[in-house]
Amino acid sequence: MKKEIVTGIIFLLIFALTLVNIYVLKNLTDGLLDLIDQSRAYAEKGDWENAISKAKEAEERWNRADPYTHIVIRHSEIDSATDAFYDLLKALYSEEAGNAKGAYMALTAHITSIEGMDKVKLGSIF
Amino acid sequence: MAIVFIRTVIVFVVLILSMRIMGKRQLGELELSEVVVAVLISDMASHPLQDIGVPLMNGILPVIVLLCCQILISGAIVSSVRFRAFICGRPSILVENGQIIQKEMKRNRFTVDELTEDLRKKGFTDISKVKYAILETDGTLNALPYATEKPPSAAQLNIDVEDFSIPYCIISDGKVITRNLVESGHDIQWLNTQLSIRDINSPRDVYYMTVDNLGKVYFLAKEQEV
Repeated sequence: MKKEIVTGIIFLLIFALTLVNIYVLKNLTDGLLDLIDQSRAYAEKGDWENAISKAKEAEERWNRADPYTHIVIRHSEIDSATDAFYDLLKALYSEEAGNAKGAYMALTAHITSIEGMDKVKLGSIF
Repeated sequence: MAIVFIRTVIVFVVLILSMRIMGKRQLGELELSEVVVAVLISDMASHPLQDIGVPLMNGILPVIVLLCCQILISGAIVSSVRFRAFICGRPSILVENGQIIQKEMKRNRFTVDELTEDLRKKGFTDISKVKYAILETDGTLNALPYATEKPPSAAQLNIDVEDFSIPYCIISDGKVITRNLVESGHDIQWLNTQLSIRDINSPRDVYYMTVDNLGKVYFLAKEQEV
Protein backbone atom coordinates (compact mmCIF):
# COMPACT_ATOMS: atom_id res chain seq x y z
CA MET A 1 0.00 0.00 0.00
CA LYS A 2 2.95 2.30 0.76
CA LYS A 3 4.09 1.97 -2.86
CA GLU A 4 0.63 2.95 -4.14
CA ILE A 5 0.47 5.95 -1.79
CA VAL A 6 3.90 7.18 -2.94
CA THR A 7 2.86 6.63 -6.57
CA GLY A 8 -0.40 8.50 -5.97
CA ILE A 9 1.54 11.40 -4.46
CA ILE A 10 3.97 11.45 -7.42
CA PHE A 11 1.00 11.30 -9.82
CA LEU A 12 -0.67 14.29 -8.14
CA LEU A 13 2.66 16.11 -7.87
CA ILE A 14 3.27 15.76 -11.61
CA PHE A 15 -0.22 17.07 -12.30
CA ALA A 16 0.37 19.99 -9.92
CA LEU A 17 3.67 20.75 -11.68
CA THR A 18 1.91 20.80 -15.04
CA LEU A 19 -0.51 23.38 -13.61
CA VAL A 20 2.43 25.41 -12.25
CA ASN A 21 3.93 25.23 -15.73
CA ILE A 22 0.73 26.73 -17.19
CA TYR A 23 0.92 29.54 -14.62
CA VAL A 24 4.63 30.26 -15.28
CA LEU A 25 4.08 30.17 -19.05
CA LYS A 26 1.09 32.50 -18.76
CA ASN A 27 3.11 34.92 -16.63
CA LEU A 28 5.92 34.91 -19.19
CA THR A 29 3.65 35.39 -22.21
CA ASP A 30 1.47 37.99 -20.46
CA GLY A 31 4.61 40.01 -19.63
CA LEU A 32 5.82 39.71 -23.21
CA LEU A 33 2.45 40.67 -24.69
CA ASP A 34 2.32 43.66 -22.36
CA LEU A 35 5.76 44.88 -23.52
CA ILE A 36 4.83 44.25 -27.17
CA ASP A 37 1.62 46.30 -26.69
CA GLN A 38 3.60 49.16 -25.15
CA SER A 39 6.09 49.00 -28.02
CA ARG A 40 3.22 49.02 -30.54
CA ALA A 41 1.70 52.09 -28.89
CA TYR A 42 5.01 53.97 -29.22
CA ALA A 43 5.42 52.85 -32.84
CA GLU A 44 1.92 54.04 -33.72
CA LYS A 45 2.86 57.46 -32.36
CA GLY A 46 6.06 57.39 -34.43
CA ASP A 47 8.26 57.15 -31.31
CA TRP A 48 10.60 54.53 -32.84
CA GLU A 49 13.25 54.86 -30.12
CA ASN A 50 10.91 53.82 -27.30
CA ALA A 51 9.22 51.24 -29.52
CA ILE A 52 12.63 49.63 -30.15
CA SER A 53 13.53 49.84 -26.45
CA LYS A 54 10.33 48.04 -25.37
CA ALA A 55 10.63 45.45 -28.17
CA LYS A 56 14.26 44.79 -27.15
CA GLU A 57 13.19 44.43 -23.53
CA ALA A 58 10.62 41.85 -24.59
CA GLU A 59 13.15 40.04 -26.77
CA GLU A 60 15.68 39.92 -23.90
CA ARG A 61 13.04 38.57 -21.52
CA TRP A 62 12.14 35.91 -24.08
CA ASN A 63 15.81 34.92 -24.52
CA ARG A 64 16.38 34.86 -20.74
CA ALA A 65 13.57 32.31 -20.43
CA ASP A 66 15.28 30.09 -23.01
CA PRO A 67 16.50 27.35 -20.59
CA TYR A 68 12.94 26.95 -19.32
CA THR A 69 11.11 27.26 -22.63
CA HIS A 70 13.37 24.66 -24.26
CA ILE A 71 12.27 22.12 -21.67
CA VAL A 72 8.54 22.67 -21.98
CA ILE A 73 7.89 24.04 -25.48
CA ARG A 74 8.52 22.44 -28.85
CA HIS A 75 11.78 23.86 -30.17
CA SER A 76 10.23 24.74 -33.54
CA GLU A 77 7.71 27.00 -31.75
CA ILE A 78 10.53 28.74 -29.83
CA ASP A 79 12.46 29.31 -33.06
CA SER A 80 9.37 30.77 -34.78
CA ALA A 81 8.76 33.19 -31.89
CA THR A 82 12.44 34.23 -31.83
CA ASP A 83 12.34 34.85 -35.59
CA ALA A 84 9.19 36.94 -35.11
CA PHE A 85 11.03 39.09 -32.51
CA TYR A 86 13.89 39.76 -34.92
CA ASP A 87 11.47 40.51 -37.79
CA LEU A 88 9.80 43.10 -35.56
CA LEU A 89 13.12 44.68 -34.54
CA LYS A 90 14.16 44.79 -38.21
CA ALA A 91 10.93 46.64 -39.12
CA LEU A 92 11.33 49.03 -36.16
CA TYR A 93 14.96 49.86 -36.95
CA SER A 94 14.03 50.61 -40.54
CA GLU A 95 11.11 52.72 -39.20
CA GLU A 96 8.60 51.16 -41.62
CA ALA A 97 5.15 51.57 -40.08
CA GLY A 98 3.45 49.08 -42.42
CA ASN A 99 6.03 46.32 -41.92
CA ALA A 100 6.10 46.97 -38.17
CA LYS A 101 2.30 46.58 -37.96
CA GLY A 102 2.51 43.16 -39.66
CA ALA A 103 5.47 42.13 -37.51
CA TYR A 104 3.57 43.08 -34.32
CA MET A 105 0.62 40.98 -35.44
CA ALA A 106 2.84 37.99 -36.27
CA LEU A 107 4.73 38.20 -32.96
CA THR A 108 1.53 38.61 -30.92
CA ALA A 109 0.03 35.61 -32.69
CA HIS A 110 3.12 33.49 -31.94
CA ILE A 111 3.23 34.44 -28.27
CA THR A 112 -0.54 33.95 -27.86
CA SER A 113 -0.29 30.55 -29.51
CA ILE A 114 2.51 29.51 -27.12
CA GLU A 115 0.34 30.54 -24.18
CA GLY A 116 -2.71 28.77 -25.58
CA MET A 117 -0.76 25.62 -26.44
CA ASP A 118 -0.69 24.35 -22.87
CA LYS A 119 -4.04 25.72 -21.73
CA VAL A 120 -6.34 22.94 -20.61
CA LYS A 121 -9.21 23.14 -23.08
CA LEU A 122 -11.24 20.44 -24.79
CA GLY A 123 -9.82 21.59 -28.11
CA SER A 124 -6.21 21.22 -27.04
CA ILE A 125 -6.77 17.84 -25.39
CA PHE A 126 -8.61 16.18 -28.26
CA MET B 1 2.83 19.74 -20.28
CA ALA B 2 -0.64 19.58 -18.70
CA ILE B 3 -1.99 18.57 -22.11
CA VAL B 4 0.60 15.78 -22.32
CA PHE B 5 -0.38 14.64 -18.80
CA ILE B 6 -4.13 14.62 -19.49
CA ARG B 7 -3.70 13.05 -22.93
CA THR B 8 -1.55 10.26 -21.46
CA VAL B 9 -4.16 9.47 -18.80
CA ILE B 10 -6.97 9.52 -21.42
CA VAL B 11 -5.05 7.26 -23.83
CA PHE B 12 -4.23 4.88 -20.96
CA VAL B 13 -7.88 4.60 -19.91
CA VAL B 14 -9.11 4.25 -23.52
CA LEU B 15 -6.56 1.50 -24.21
CA ILE B 16 -7.45 -0.33 -20.99
CA LEU B 17 -11.13 -0.26 -21.91
CA SER B 18 -10.63 -1.18 -25.56
CA MET B 19 -8.26 -4.05 -24.76
CA ARG B 20 -10.69 -5.20 -22.09
CA ILE B 21 -13.42 -5.28 -24.73
CA MET B 22 -11.07 -7.09 -27.13
CA GLY B 23 -11.03 -9.92 -24.62
CA LYS B 24 -8.60 -12.13 -22.80
CA ARG B 25 -7.15 -13.76 -25.87
CA GLN B 26 -5.16 -10.64 -26.74
CA LEU B 27 -3.32 -10.57 -23.46
CA GLY B 28 -0.96 -13.52 -23.48
CA GLU B 29 0.35 -13.82 -19.98
CA LEU B 30 0.58 -10.17 -18.95
CA GLU B 31 -1.80 -8.27 -16.74
CA LEU B 32 -4.05 -5.95 -18.77
CA SER B 33 -2.54 -2.70 -17.46
CA GLU B 34 0.96 -4.08 -18.11
CA VAL B 35 0.08 -4.78 -21.74
CA VAL B 36 -1.27 -1.25 -22.17
CA VAL B 37 1.87 0.27 -20.62
CA ALA B 38 4.12 -1.97 -22.73
CA VAL B 39 2.27 -0.98 -25.91
CA LEU B 40 2.42 2.73 -25.10
CA ILE B 41 5.87 3.16 -23.55
CA SER B 42 7.77 1.53 -26.38
CA ASP B 43 6.41 4.09 -28.84
CA MET B 44 6.21 7.19 -26.65
CA ALA B 45 9.77 7.20 -25.39
CA SER B 46 11.20 6.97 -28.88
CA HIS B 47 9.75 10.23 -30.25
CA PRO B 48 12.07 12.71 -28.48
CA LEU B 49 14.98 10.42 -29.40
CA GLN B 50 14.15 10.60 -33.09
CA ASP B 51 13.20 14.28 -33.19
CA ILE B 52 15.54 16.59 -31.28
CA GLY B 53 13.03 19.41 -31.74
CA VAL B 54 10.68 17.70 -29.28
CA PRO B 55 11.56 18.43 -25.62
CA LEU B 56 12.77 15.29 -23.83
CA MET B 57 10.18 16.07 -21.18
CA ASN B 58 7.45 15.22 -23.73
CA GLY B 59 8.79 11.67 -23.80
CA ILE B 60 9.68 11.29 -20.13
CA LEU B 61 6.49 12.72 -18.65
CA PRO B 62 4.07 10.27 -20.32
CA VAL B 63 6.29 7.35 -19.32
CA ILE B 64 6.25 8.43 -15.66
CA VAL B 65 2.49 9.09 -15.80
CA LEU B 66 1.90 5.65 -17.34
CA LEU B 67 4.05 4.01 -14.71
CA CYS B 68 2.02 5.75 -11.99
CA CYS B 69 -1.24 4.66 -13.67
CA GLN B 70 -0.02 1.08 -13.87
CA ILE B 71 1.03 0.95 -10.21
CA LEU B 72 -2.21 2.59 -9.07
CA ILE B 73 -4.34 0.23 -11.19
CA SER B 74 -2.38 -2.80 -9.95
CA GLY B 75 -2.84 -1.59 -6.35
CA ALA B 76 -6.57 -1.14 -6.89
CA ILE B 77 -6.80 -4.59 -8.51
CA VAL B 78 -5.18 -6.17 -5.45
CA SER B 79 -7.35 -4.35 -2.92
CA SER B 80 -10.76 -4.39 -4.63
CA VAL B 81 -12.48 -7.54 -5.91
CA ARG B 82 -15.01 -5.50 -7.88
CA PHE B 83 -12.34 -3.42 -9.56
CA ARG B 84 -10.36 -6.57 -10.33
CA ALA B 85 -13.41 -8.11 -11.98
CA PHE B 86 -14.00 -4.89 -13.94
CA ILE B 87 -10.43 -4.57 -15.21
CA CYS B 88 -9.30 -8.18 -15.50
CA GLY B 89 -12.68 -9.86 -16.01
CA ARG B 90 -13.53 -13.27 -14.59
CA PRO B 91 -12.29 -16.71 -15.62
CA SER B 92 -14.64 -18.36 -18.14
CA ILE B 93 -15.47 -22.04 -18.11
CA LEU B 94 -15.38 -23.15 -21.75
CA VAL B 95 -15.72 -26.89 -21.14
CA GLU B 96 -17.65 -28.44 -18.26
CA ASN B 97 -18.03 -32.18 -17.79
CA GLY B 98 -16.78 -32.81 -21.31
CA GLN B 99 -19.31 -30.44 -22.87
CA ILE B 100 -18.32 -27.26 -24.69
CA ILE B 101 -20.27 -24.30 -23.32
CA GLN B 102 -21.13 -22.52 -26.56
CA LYS B 103 -22.42 -19.36 -24.90
CA GLU B 104 -19.07 -18.82 -23.16
CA MET B 105 -17.20 -19.68 -26.37
CA LYS B 106 -19.16 -17.00 -28.21
CA ARG B 107 -18.74 -14.47 -25.41
CA ASN B 108 -14.96 -14.93 -25.46
CA ARG B 109 -14.86 -15.11 -29.27
CA PHE B 110 -13.12 -18.48 -29.00
CA THR B 111 -13.40 -20.90 -31.90
CA VAL B 112 -13.59 -24.66 -31.54
CA ASP B 113 -10.33 -24.95 -33.49
CA GLU B 114 -8.56 -22.69 -31.00
CA LEU B 115 -10.05 -24.61 -28.08
CA THR B 116 -8.97 -27.99 -29.43
CA GLU B 117 -5.53 -26.61 -30.27
CA ASP B 118 -5.08 -25.31 -26.72
CA LEU B 119 -6.39 -28.58 -25.29
CA ARG B 120 -3.94 -30.56 -27.42
CA LYS B 121 -1.14 -28.39 -26.01
CA LYS B 122 -2.31 -29.51 -22.58
CA GLY B 123 -2.27 -33.14 -23.67
CA PHE B 124 -6.01 -33.61 -24.30
CA THR B 125 -7.09 -34.95 -27.67
CA ASP B 126 -10.58 -35.91 -26.57
CA ILE B 127 -12.85 -33.15 -25.24
CA SER B 128 -15.05 -35.68 -23.46
CA LYS B 129 -12.06 -36.45 -21.18
CA VAL B 130 -11.94 -32.84 -19.98
CA LYS B 131 -13.76 -32.12 -16.73
CA TYR B 132 -13.14 -28.37 -16.91
CA ALA B 133 -11.40 -26.09 -19.40
CA ILE B 134 -11.07 -22.61 -17.97
CA LEU B 135 -10.03 -19.51 -19.86
CA GLU B 136 -8.10 -17.54 -17.25
CA THR B 137 -8.11 -13.74 -16.99
CA ASP B 138 -4.59 -13.55 -18.48
CA GLY B 139 -5.78 -15.36 -21.64
CA THR B 140 -4.32 -18.80 -20.91
CA LEU B 141 -6.44 -21.93 -21.04
CA ASN B 142 -6.25 -24.39 -18.17
CA ALA B 143 -7.69 -27.86 -18.55
CA LEU B 144 -8.49 -30.30 -15.76
CA PRO B 145 -9.17 -33.97 -16.42
CA TYR B 146 -11.78 -36.12 -14.66
CA ALA B 147 -10.48 -37.61 -11.42
CA THR B 148 -10.58 -41.04 -13.06
CA GLU B 149 -8.30 -39.79 -15.85
CA LYS B 150 -5.70 -38.36 -13.48
CA PRO B 151 -2.53 -40.37 -12.80
CA PRO B 152 -2.49 -41.64 -9.22
CA SER B 153 -0.28 -39.81 -6.76
CA ALA B 154 2.36 -41.38 -4.53
CA ALA B 155 0.07 -40.74 -1.53
CA GLN B 156 -2.82 -42.57 -3.22
CA LEU B 157 -0.53 -45.48 -3.94
CA ASN B 158 0.91 -45.39 -0.40
CA ILE B 159 4.47 -45.10 -1.65
CA ASP B 160 7.16 -43.35 0.39
CA VAL B 161 8.96 -40.83 -1.75
CA GLU B 162 11.76 -38.48 -0.83
CA ASP B 163 10.61 -34.88 -0.69
CA PHE B 164 12.45 -32.33 -2.76
CA SER B 165 13.56 -28.80 -2.20
CA ILE B 166 14.51 -25.98 -4.53
CA PRO B 167 18.25 -26.00 -5.18
CA TYR B 168 20.26 -22.86 -4.49
CA CYS B 169 22.72 -21.81 -7.17
CA ILE B 170 26.04 -21.45 -5.33
CA ILE B 171 28.43 -20.97 -8.25
CA SER B 172 27.41 -19.69 -11.64
CA ASP B 173 30.06 -19.56 -14.36
CA GLY B 174 32.93 -19.30 -11.89
CA LYS B 175 31.27 -16.72 -9.63
CA VAL B 176 30.23 -17.54 -6.06
CA ILE B 177 26.73 -16.26 -5.20
CA THR B 178 27.33 -15.50 -1.53
CA ARG B 179 23.69 -14.63 -0.80
CA ASN B 180 22.50 -18.06 -1.99
CA LEU B 181 25.33 -19.75 -0.11
CA VAL B 182 24.21 -18.11 3.15
CA GLU B 183 20.50 -18.78 2.44
CA SER B 184 21.25 -22.46 1.86
CA GLY B 185 22.73 -22.58 5.38
CA HIS B 186 26.37 -23.06 4.33
CA ASP B 187 29.49 -20.94 4.40
CA ILE B 188 32.70 -20.43 2.42
CA GLN B 189 34.49 -23.08 4.45
CA TRP B 190 31.90 -25.67 3.45
CA LEU B 191 32.20 -24.55 -0.16
CA ASN B 192 35.99 -24.87 -0.10
CA THR B 193 35.66 -28.37 1.37
CA GLN B 194 33.21 -29.32 -1.37
CA LEU B 195 35.58 -28.01 -4.01
CA SER B 196 38.61 -29.79 -2.56
CA ILE B 197 36.67 -33.08 -2.46
CA ARG B 198 36.24 -32.63 -6.23
CA ASP B 199 39.90 -31.65 -6.78
CA ILE B 200 39.00 -28.10 -7.65
CA ASN B 201 41.30 -25.30 -6.49
CA SER B 202 39.11 -22.29 -7.14
CA PRO B 203 35.41 -21.50 -7.73
CA ARG B 204 36.58 -19.97 -11.01
CA ASP B 205 37.01 -23.55 -12.31
CA VAL B 206 33.35 -24.38 -11.63
CA TYR B 207 30.70 -23.80 -14.28
CA TYR B 208 27.62 -24.55 -12.18
CA MET B 209 27.05 -25.73 -8.63
CA THR B 210 23.84 -26.01 -6.64
CA VAL B 211 22.85 -27.35 -3.27
CA ASP B 212 19.36 -28.07 -1.93
CA ASN B 213 18.02 -28.09 1.62
CA LEU B 214 18.69 -31.82 1.87
CA GLY B 215 22.37 -31.18 1.19
CA LYS B 216 22.31 -32.69 -2.30
CA VAL B 217 24.98 -31.05 -4.42
CA TYR B 218 24.94 -30.73 -8.19
CA PHE B 219 28.38 -29.97 -9.57
CA LEU B 220 29.68 -29.20 -13.05
CA ALA B 221 33.32 -28.22 -13.61
CA LYS B 222 34.29 -25.80 -16.36
CA GLU B 223 35.47 -27.43 -19.57
CA GLN B 224 39.15 -26.83 -20.25
CA GLU B 225 39.68 -24.43 -23.14
CA VAL B 226 41.67 -25.98 -25.97
